[in-house]
Amino acid sequence: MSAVAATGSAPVARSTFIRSPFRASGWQVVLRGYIGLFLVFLYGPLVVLFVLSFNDSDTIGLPFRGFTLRWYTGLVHQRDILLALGNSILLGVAVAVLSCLLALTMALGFRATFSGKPLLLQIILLPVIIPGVVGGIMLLIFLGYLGFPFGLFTSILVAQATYVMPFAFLTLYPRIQGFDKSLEEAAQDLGAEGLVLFRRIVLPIIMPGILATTIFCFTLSFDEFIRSVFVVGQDATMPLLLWSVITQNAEPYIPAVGVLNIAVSAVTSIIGFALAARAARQPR
Amino acid sequence: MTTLAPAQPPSDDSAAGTAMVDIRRLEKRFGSAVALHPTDLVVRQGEFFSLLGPSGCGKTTLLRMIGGFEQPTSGDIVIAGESVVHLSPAKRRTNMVFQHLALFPHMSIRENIAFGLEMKRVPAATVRSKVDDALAMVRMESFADRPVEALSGGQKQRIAIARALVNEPAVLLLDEPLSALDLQLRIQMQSELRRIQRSTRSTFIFVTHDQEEAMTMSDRIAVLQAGHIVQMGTPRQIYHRPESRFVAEFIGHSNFLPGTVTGLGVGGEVRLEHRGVSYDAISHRPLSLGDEVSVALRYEAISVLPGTDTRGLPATLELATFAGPTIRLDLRLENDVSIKAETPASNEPPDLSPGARFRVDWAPTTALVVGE
Repeated sequence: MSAVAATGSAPVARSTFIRSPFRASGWQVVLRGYIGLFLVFLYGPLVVLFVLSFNDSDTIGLPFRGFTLRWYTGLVHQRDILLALGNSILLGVAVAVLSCLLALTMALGFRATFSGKPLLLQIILLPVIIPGVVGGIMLLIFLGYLGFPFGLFTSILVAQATYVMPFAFLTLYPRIQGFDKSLEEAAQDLGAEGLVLFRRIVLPIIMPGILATTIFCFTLSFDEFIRSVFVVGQDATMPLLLWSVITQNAEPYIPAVGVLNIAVSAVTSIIGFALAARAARQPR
Repeated sequence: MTTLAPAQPPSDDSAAGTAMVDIRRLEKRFGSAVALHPTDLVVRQGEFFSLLGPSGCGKTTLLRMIGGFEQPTSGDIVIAGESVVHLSPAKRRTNMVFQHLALFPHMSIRENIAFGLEMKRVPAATVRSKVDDALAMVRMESFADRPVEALSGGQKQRIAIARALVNEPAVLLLDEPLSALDLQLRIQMQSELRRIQRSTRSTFIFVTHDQEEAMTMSDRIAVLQAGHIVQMGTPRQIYHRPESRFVAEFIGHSNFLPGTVTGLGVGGEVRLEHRGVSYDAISHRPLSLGDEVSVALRYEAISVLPGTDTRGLPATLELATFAGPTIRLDLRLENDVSIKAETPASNEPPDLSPGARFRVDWAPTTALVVGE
């Protein structure tokens, strides 16, 4: 068995497709250079930010003057940063739950056939193609005229939920559309109807998809800046605070805050992807 | 005009058994398309009844209307004496085994089977013992706590049957549940289904497009074509007395011989002629001299005799095909009509070269005049 593998086709294939680096052609040099640049621009800023967050220097930038954790430990005393982080997380949860709930009920409704369905679908997805700046200005004018109170869980919630909801709908809709109708028929056949049917059969099967969507919505909200900045009230979210800090005076703890933000987004995204993968594995 | 009385229609013991499902003038249209023309049908208590036909013939629509998954355009469905057309599937005393089984993927096997009883708020202890009985009935006792995806195709099949039957439905509806299985497993499940049906004495309505499956399993069969029931009867009646060319073609393999009526005998016997060749057949409907008819003649009903024989009609061999237990012979009669015969391989003629001379013969009662 191992003798076959050693003398089999794999080594032949390797020598055909992967050439020795010492005899690289000019074209390959260009390709390698391109890949190098690609990686540098993709991950370079991340590495620099990460390194600077541990730099024992009172100005942001190199040279590296020694390792310190003081920018992280010092954040404990930065009340506005902690407040903004808390605001962003709470708001993110509210936006995620609200838009996911709206998207779910809508996706369930869209299983029925009714006239004007394609048009309605387009209208729902419209916010996705409106540029963020325009969306922000529109909301500022609209909410201003209405006399709507500006604040975290009022105007910013509206701004973010209207932006996030179409994405939630787009991830949930195919999952619900693809739900095996014969499972519902089987449940009806066995005596389940209405809410019982939804709670016992439909919901458990689509649950991983709903959770993944909620988490995806959270990361969208956590990151949202452009719409929120137009309708901000007294309280700031993390991106809004970072923006004001950086435009006034570049505080040395900013890289540490950046790393912290990346950590929150990364962890939630990983959980989301894991749930999405589990949802995709669900047998139909 | 000489008219012949039709042969006596075979009794299908209509008196036996009480009606479990009584379908009255049931019709289903999807827009302008007719899925089922107004149909009457009675399925008796304890009967294994098959709806047989090609895809699109309306058999699945009929089954789904009985289960409550399609609303009829008009007509009535009476199950165990109660009209059910206005009841949801949940409220009907029917249970269905779905084509793709539709086992709940997020539940264990026990939970799947218990679901229907739970919905009826049966006490937990009763549910437990009934589920155990159902598992024993399909011989899956040791699988109770496994997840659904741990099962093979045949095992899933058994669980789907148990999940439906545990509710003791008045009628069990089966929507081609065996079509996804390979041949071996399929034959095994056919006898398994028959065993379960006999031991529970329940009424089964089974939808299939496989005529052999319908033959081997059913007490009675309804053959459907383009939204009509074209023939109904026991497997033997359907096999031996197809009433139309469609049924004769769909069930088994038949030759269709053209002919003009030249003589009428007693008991439905007719003498036919086509381009100088005369032969005998039987008709179950009145015919007149000079009628142009078509005769269905099964491949296996034809005896292939040596060319030196005096019985039957002379024929020339065109092709012989070995098919294991049988040999199929493509022959040509003297009037240039081709005819296929199937003869046991044990009875293989010595000379099977093209052009070999034979004589073909059949009992007149096996050659049936059929309508188009």
